[in-house]
Parts: sequence; C-alpha cells; structure tokens
Amino acid sequence: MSLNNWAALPPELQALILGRLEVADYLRFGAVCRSWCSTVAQRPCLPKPQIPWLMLSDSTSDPDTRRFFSRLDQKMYKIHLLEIHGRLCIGSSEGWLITVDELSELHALNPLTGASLALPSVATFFDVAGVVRDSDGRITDYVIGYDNLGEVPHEVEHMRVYYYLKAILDPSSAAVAVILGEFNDLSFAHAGDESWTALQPPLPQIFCDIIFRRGLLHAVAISGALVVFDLDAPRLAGGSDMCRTSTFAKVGGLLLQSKYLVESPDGKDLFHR
Amino acid sequence: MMSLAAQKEKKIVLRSSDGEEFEVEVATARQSKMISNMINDGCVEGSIPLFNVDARTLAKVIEYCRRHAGATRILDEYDNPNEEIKSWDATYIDVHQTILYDILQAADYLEIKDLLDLACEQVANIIRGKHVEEIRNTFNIKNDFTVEEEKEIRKQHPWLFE
Repeated sequence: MSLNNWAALPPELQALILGRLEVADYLRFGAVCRSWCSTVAQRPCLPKPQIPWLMLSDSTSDPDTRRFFSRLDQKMYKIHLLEIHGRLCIGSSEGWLITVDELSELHALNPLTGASLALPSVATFFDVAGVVRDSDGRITDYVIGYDNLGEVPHEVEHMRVYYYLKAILDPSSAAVAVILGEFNDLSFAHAGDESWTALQPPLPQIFCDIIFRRGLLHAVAISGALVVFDLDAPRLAGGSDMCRTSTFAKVGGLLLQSKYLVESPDGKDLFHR
Repeated sequence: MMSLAAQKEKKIVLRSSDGEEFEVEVATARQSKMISNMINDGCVEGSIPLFNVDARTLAKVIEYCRRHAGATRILDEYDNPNEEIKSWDATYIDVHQTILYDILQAADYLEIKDLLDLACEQVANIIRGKHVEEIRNTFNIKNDFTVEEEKEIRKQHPWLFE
C-alpha cells in the first residue's frame, strides 16, 4: 500500500472521486494522466449536479466563442462553439442547450461534449400549415393555422423570436418538450423522430413552465393546473384524442400569473411559485 | 447477536500487513463490513490478518472506526451529534495525500463505506478548482501523455487550461 501511486488508483475508486466533481473539474481530471483520462472517457458517472453556468450572448468581436460564467469557481470560460453562432437559446437541461437557428429550426447541443441530437423540422409542428419560399427557394415565412383566423403567414425572423417560449431535454430518453405558439401549447419529439407530436391536456391550458421529472413531463399553466404527461405511454385510442395525462392537480398562486416549476436537489419534491 | 455490553467487553485482534497487532472492541471492528461479515460467519478465532493494510494506516483507520462506533451510541442519547462528528471527520481526514491514499485503499478493502465516502470527498475537495498541473504536483502524478496526446486534449477543451 505504500506504493502510493495516484495514477494507478483502481478505476472504480477513480469513479467514486469523479462523481463528486462538477463538470469543469470532472473534465480536468481526465487531463491529468493517461489512467485518469481513460476513466473519464468511459463516463462511469455524471458530473456532480451544480449551479448552472450562465451563458452570455453572442460576442460580435469573437463570434466563434461563447462565454460561460461559472458561479461555483467565479470563472469565465470561453468555449469555442461555432455551431450556435447567431442562434437563440430557448432552454437548457443537464448541460444540453436547445437553440433556434436563423430558420427557426430547433437544435439540441451539448456544448462540452459536442454531441447533438437531430430534431424534427419546425414545419412539422401541429399548427404550421405551410412554408413560403422566395424565387430562390429560401424560406421567408411559415404559415400558421389558427382555429378562428385561418392561415396567417409569419416571417421567419418573427417566428424564431416569438414562436417558442421554452424547450427542455430529458437526456435519458432523448426527448425534447417545447412550449410554443400563440397559446403556449405543448409539443414533444424524441431525437430522430420525423415530426413533433402535440400534447393535449384534458382542458385547454396556457402553459408557462415545463420540467422533466422521473421521466415524466410536468407542465404548469397560468390557470394553476399541473399536468403530467408520460411521453412513453401508448397513445389513447380513438379519434383526435392525444392526451397522455396521468394526473391533473391544482397548484396555488395567482390566476394568470406566470408560474415556475423547480425540482428539489434530491429529486423528491417538485416546487412551484 | 451479542448484547451491547458483551460486545463492548469482547475484543478482536487485527494484524496489519507488516505484522503489528491491534486489539479493538467488536463494535469498532464491525464498522468494517468485511470484518463484520467475518464475525457473523464465526471465523474470527485468533487474529484477523489484513494483508493489504499496513500498521500506520490500520492505526488511522481504527481511530476512525472507534470514533464512529462511539458516535452510533451517542446518536441514541442526543438528538443532533451530527455537527460534532462532521467537524471531527473534517479534522481527521485533513492529512497528507500519501496517508489519504492509504486510507482510501483501506476503506475500500475493509468496506467502511462512510470512511470511503469521506476520503473520496476529500480527494475531490483537493482537486476542485485546481489547474491540471497543480493536480499533478499535489498527487505526485507524472504527465505520461505524449506531446501529440497532450495537444489533442488541449484542442478538445482549450478552456480547461486557461
């Protein structure tokens, strides 16, 4: 035992240490020596959950990098991220970013691993009735279908800023859920799906926040309703019924006031405000 | 199961890899799941040889087990001894990395989960916020990457080295 060779620490003990490190230290661990590097490469565990980094907006002087502020170590990290240049970010989950490109398409990217997920096109959302192109074939408008107004074209620039409220990702199932459209509806897709699937609650709701918890999508509406969807459950048979609701509860708070969902660090409780 | 009083009286002898013998209370020895299993199986006649733990480390590990065996009893009498034992743990584990390494290995071998957790957390605390080169220096780890490998790692995550 007096050999005291930290590099030769058994991989299972390395993993026990690794799981206690937040992401920056987790990755640095792998840069120390070959043995530690191979432990990190095998991803035996996730980094320790941490206070999320703050992503700063695009820099005009250095458009290929994004700056992230880590409150934990009070450091600013500059990360080369050519992929999301010019994109808007509409959500983040467990290290993944959901971004909107110039054509309003959604992309899921892990800025640290470089991994990405293929998501269906914006043209497959339930209320997108069509695409308008100019003479060169470039998309200029998306046509949105409304129950009462009929079909209305929306310029691409307008779409990308106003169409989405929030998107989240459940890394374990590679599912992405989005609050979108004029009435804050819900849609979801799994990575690789051809199209987005609309989620309909038992009663129409204007949703304001969503969270994945224990594999279930929890959505809170300004009415105070909390709707839980099991995205893996088979669709109910019959007609247009797309409801996958498993519970329907009322949460407190003022009517029509925006509400937020937060999970407790141990994952046992769900809070709202 | 023996009564607590009987356990207190009965002693067990642990023999380190370098041949030193330590007499400990059963409750202390039982902090190790490995030894506890041996006691349950009735195979602790004479001394227990611990081939992977030297005397210096074993003394240190017994210190931990004795304190924690005691703490379990205190827990019954007082509501919140947590803070006290936490601060004791923090002082206990604040050791040079060579000793920390041995404690870590011994806790794993002897299956003392709380001590293993404590040692891993201490290693993580030492690593946290340090530059790669500082980590190497602290743990006396040789940089065994080739120049090309090192370049590749830096290319992947240049921000880690800023």
